[in-house]
Amino acid sequence: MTMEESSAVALLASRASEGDSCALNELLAELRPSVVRTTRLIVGAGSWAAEDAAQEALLDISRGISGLHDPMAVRGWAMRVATNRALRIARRERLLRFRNALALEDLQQPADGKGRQAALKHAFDSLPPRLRATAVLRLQAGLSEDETADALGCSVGAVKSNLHDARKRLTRLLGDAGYAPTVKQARGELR
Amino acid sequence: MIDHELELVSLDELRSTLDVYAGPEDPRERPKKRRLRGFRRVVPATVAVVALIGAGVGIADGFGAFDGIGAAQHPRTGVDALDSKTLAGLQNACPNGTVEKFYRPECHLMINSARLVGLVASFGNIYVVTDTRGDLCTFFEGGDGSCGPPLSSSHPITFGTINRSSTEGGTFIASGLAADGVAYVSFTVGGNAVDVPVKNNVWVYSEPDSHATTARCVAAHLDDGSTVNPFPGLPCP
Repeated sequence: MTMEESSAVALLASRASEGDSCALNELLAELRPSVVRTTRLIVGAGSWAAEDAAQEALLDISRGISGLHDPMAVRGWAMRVATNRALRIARRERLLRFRNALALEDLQQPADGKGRQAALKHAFDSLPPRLRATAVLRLQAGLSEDETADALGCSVGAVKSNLHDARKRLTRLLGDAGYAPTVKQARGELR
Repeated sequence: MIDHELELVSLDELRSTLDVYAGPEDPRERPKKRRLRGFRRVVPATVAVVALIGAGVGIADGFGAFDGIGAAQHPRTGVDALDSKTLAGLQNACPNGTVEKFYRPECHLMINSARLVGLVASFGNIYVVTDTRGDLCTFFEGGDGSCGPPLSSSHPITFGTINRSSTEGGTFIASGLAADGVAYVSFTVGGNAVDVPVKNNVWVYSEPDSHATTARCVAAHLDDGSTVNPFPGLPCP
């Protein structure tokens, strides 16, 4: 995002926090893609709980905007709000053992079918929510380590450790499903 | 020799998998539930519906949601029903099946709680409505208005602004509710100080050909001469 784009979003955030409903709608339209995808992936893409969480995250942002102190930091703030909502729901769903999940097939299976990618997705959904959140914020939302630490309320060291732990667990789970740790190994390029 | 890093799932592969499953930018809405079938399901459903209707009637007929708003504290009658123009405006702002319904205040209204609190020249009927999130909303004919948390001594007014074409110069409207005992609301807009009297617990200000999108220095002035600044986030310039 360019400096000009950041300034435009900050201006929208400033106006929205002051009660301007038009600005709030524009701001939500701007933030919606990253908020929805981040929330969905943390809770578990393909479940209604994830779709509900995405909606509730948008609602949290809409209701909390008046408390935003630094409009320039609106994206980071929105991701923190969305992550908090997603983690709450992900933890609840984990307790329910995904009782309400498995309903949106097009968000569960990639276009090219099952295989390794589906196994990786399945393994990802079984990670503890905090590890999922760390990976989503770093790899999908594109947040820096500092921004991820801020969104999760932890140290940068914990972010690094979480991501490493996530990859270790995914490697083990892939192995359990009969897949090599890396694509290269699967192709026999590693000796 | 195997590099330690290569023993783990690669970041690139994990990133591309997450991208595949990230999905569309709008959240999905749950489909409507199928009609319940069979007696055993109908009975608890009926009990639940009766309980919900009872609760709804309680909220709609009770004054709790309108505590401190004298103009709205009356039993609901036919005249309190939203007029067709306001209803159409709200439905237009909150069409079924769009994602906006989840975060737009208009989409959380409890329409059956509406109370007509007055008629303001050039704005038509003014209504006060509660919503499912616990907020209070004020709407004037056509569906424009504002929502905010319930009124209290530290927040005796709600405050919202709208200007549909601030770039070219449109009508700037600021409006809100005011608790009993608030005489007028003051703020600055475009550098000018404005005092807006409260009538029937509602205040409305409009300014044509305006580029303003918000106001600052908002204060509620009470009958006893005291002043409350409910929005410290909107400081005086």
